[in-house]
Amino acid sequence: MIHLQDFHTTIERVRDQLSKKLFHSYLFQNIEAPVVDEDKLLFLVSFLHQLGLSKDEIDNYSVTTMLLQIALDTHENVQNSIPEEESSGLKHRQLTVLAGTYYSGLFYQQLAHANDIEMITTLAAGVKEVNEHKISVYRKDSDAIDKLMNSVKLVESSLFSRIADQFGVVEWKDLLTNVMFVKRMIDEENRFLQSGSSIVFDGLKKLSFPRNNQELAKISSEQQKYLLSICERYIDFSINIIEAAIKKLPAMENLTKERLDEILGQNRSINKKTLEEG
Amino acid sequence: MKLKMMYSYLNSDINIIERELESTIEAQSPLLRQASLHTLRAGGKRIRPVFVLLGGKFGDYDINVIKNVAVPLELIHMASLVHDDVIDDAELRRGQPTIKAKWDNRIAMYTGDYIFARALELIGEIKEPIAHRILADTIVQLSVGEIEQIKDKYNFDQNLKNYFRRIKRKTALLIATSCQLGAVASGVEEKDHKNLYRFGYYVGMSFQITDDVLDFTGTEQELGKPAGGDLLQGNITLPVLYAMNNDAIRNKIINVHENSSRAEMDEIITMIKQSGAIEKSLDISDRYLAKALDILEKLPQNKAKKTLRDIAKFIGKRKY
Repeated sequence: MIHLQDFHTTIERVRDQLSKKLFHSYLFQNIEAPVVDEDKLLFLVSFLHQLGLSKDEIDNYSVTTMLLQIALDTHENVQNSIPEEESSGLKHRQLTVLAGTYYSGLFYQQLAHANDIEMITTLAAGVKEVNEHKISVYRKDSDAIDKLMNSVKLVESSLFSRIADQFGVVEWKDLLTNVMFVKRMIDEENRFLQSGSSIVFDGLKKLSFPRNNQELAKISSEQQKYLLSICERYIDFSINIIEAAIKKLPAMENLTKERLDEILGQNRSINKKTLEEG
Repeated sequence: MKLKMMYSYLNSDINIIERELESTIEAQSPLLRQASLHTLRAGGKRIRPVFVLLGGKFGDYDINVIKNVAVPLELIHMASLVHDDVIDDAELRRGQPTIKAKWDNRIAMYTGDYIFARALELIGEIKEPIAHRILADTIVQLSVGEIEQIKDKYNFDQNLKNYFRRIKRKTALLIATSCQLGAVASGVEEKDHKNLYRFGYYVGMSFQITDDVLDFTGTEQELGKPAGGDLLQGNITLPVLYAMNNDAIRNKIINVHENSSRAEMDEIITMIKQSGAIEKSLDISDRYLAKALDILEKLPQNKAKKTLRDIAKFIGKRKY
């Protein structure tokens, strides 16, 4: 097992390299700074660290995968319409499109200069899959709940599961895909409970109550509970896979383990509260 | 002679590229497949694949290898057009509704990202690391160029250097890279593939300057939009920069904004045309063209070299 100090240093070094890559003065002045998903970064570095890769390989794969994730997340912020009160809305949207494209170009550039063609195609295949399933979730065109949930899982984790596949580590693939799925579903649950708006719950509603044309926020409390219970079933299933994967893997760094416990515990508290209170 | 006639002997290979483009974007999602094919079938000159094929003719030409460069380069261009339509809020492209108009911005973003990813997957078939370094640097420069273009909008204090750097990134680099990568994939020696890059770069510069001139001299029918559209959108091109050397014209131009009236624009266009700026710009375009033709002389003699010369002359002198 790697020393705690080494692991912290690696995380800091990757975060620092990523920040330097992402910095573009004009973009930073005009649109929000890109958001780094700290959990994705943490689990990715934990995985690469445990593989025993060299420092350069860990840095390269972590930075480029996160660049791509940030590129995809940035493009996710491109809206269909601009609120009228936002006079700078058009420029903001234009730069958001270009920022995402710029970050994905940086991913290719870094791996190309490292002569790592295999990883370029691996991650590109991930991006392809993510966008196929983003469209499916966005258009709510799944014809079964299982397919919808699988699409959500792939949107969240395809980049990471592809890397795990490349190194042939099934347990890490199970862990990464399911942790990212659970996190996303907790997020969707929270949005649904707090604002009545969630693209995944919209999709679930369409599949569960096809004849109900009401807005998601206006469905009955029984129907809400039903949707939450479906969501919980999928989360529980993923948690079981995560726990099984953890048992098979070597001991993790405390930082990763603690964060895993937090995410899984977070779900249990929401679950209990909502289903008890209705 | 029409452009397509100049390389008609490549038609069977261009058809292979066309079929490959279609099969490459066979997405599982029906909508994604439809949106990607919609972009593909909207057509286009496919000039980048043609440059790739011609570059390849200087080496050990094998269409089954070279298609792995030609197809990705066209896909990268297509992906950028899909995203550009979101950037420009464009409803039509080549007379067809854009993806963002037919569906919405989100679908356009997913489609563009999907097409870009397919391009990278495919070019992974090319194992020469230098090909990836060249293409990756170009892709980054392209997006930096687009960001700079937004930064420079309605900036009337910019100079010629800004303009040339911008059109290099916007247009010339991808043409240069197309010529070079075709050669690299066919094992052409370094000296020659670098000269092909320079040729593409000079042709691309000449092409873009001509394009910027046509925005003032073309008719609405030829351009598919009213003349002076670039200036109205805040893009300061070479004819504008030259015309602004005249204070009276400069004072008119610096007041242009996105809601300037047609009458104001027509007056400015007339002033630009009468200022000699068009001729000066065309002279610069010709100089780039001459440089492109000079570089060609350094390349080995073959049929592709003659075709490149014809294409260069055609696109430098085109009327619309």
